Amino acid sequence: MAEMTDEELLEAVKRDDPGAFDAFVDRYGRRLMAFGVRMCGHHEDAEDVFQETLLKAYQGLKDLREPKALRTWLYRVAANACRMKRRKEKHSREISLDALKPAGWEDAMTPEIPDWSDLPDDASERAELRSALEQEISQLPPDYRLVLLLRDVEGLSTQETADALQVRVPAVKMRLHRARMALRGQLEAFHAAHATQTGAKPALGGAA
Amino acid sequence: MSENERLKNLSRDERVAFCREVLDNLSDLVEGEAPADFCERVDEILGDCQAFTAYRNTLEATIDLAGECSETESEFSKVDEDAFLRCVERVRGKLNS
Repeated sequence: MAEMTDEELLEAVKRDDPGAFDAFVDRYGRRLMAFGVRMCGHHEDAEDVFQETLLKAYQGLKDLREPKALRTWLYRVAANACRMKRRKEKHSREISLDALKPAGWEDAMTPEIPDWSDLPDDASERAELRSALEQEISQLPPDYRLVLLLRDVEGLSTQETADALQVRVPAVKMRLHRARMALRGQLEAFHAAHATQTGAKPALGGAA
Repeated sequence: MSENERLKNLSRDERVAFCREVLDNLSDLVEGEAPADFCERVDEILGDCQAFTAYRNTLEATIDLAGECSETESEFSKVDEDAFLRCVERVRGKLNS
């Protein structure tokens, strides 16, 4: 069943073919669970979210009329499961939008901005940078984290992200942009701290 | 004086306002979704601004790095296989009941 298209997979599910559930799990399961871990920040909640997602998704697959929208629809189910989980949590932490304003937002005329865009080729250094980024993603407010994960990590288009979250495209763009700018600022701080530790001097972009 | 020449001679306050407008639209700019006339204004006014170039480049690097996260294993993406299979079996049980 590994070679099936999404359309064929859906047909197999609708016919209750033996192995259809396993084929579905093989294709999307781990990715959905990883999405849950990224959204929840820890594995216990992610397991609850993943089970809810898998159950709801598999039960709903038979009624899905557009096979091409399968991936987007699955993330919608997963996003809803994440939201439900969050609502149930009594101690969920919401960060003010002001906390998302990136460093440099208020002083756009900052004379020197370090240019660290030349990412390291060394695998371990790059992994360290990715790890720092993932840590910062986990600190984003949930609605912003959802948009960033769907758009930039999972690779959905802006329209697909809007469809998955059932919000308008401008709202996706606004949240995505703020989230990216916040992460850019955090990575800049990471580079500054790293440069201080190693004594390296990052390239600077001076004002014109 | 052409529009571009006029923009090049912006006052500091006008340039600050323009820079904020650019920051507000930087995602659209790096993804090629900003209106053409806005892109032209940015090129004209900030084309030789190293700070802007650094800011734009580092935002692009941030987006690129986020895209790599889905393809690599990390503490956030690593799926505990035992937990995964446990979850799958629980769901299978619910579906079959």
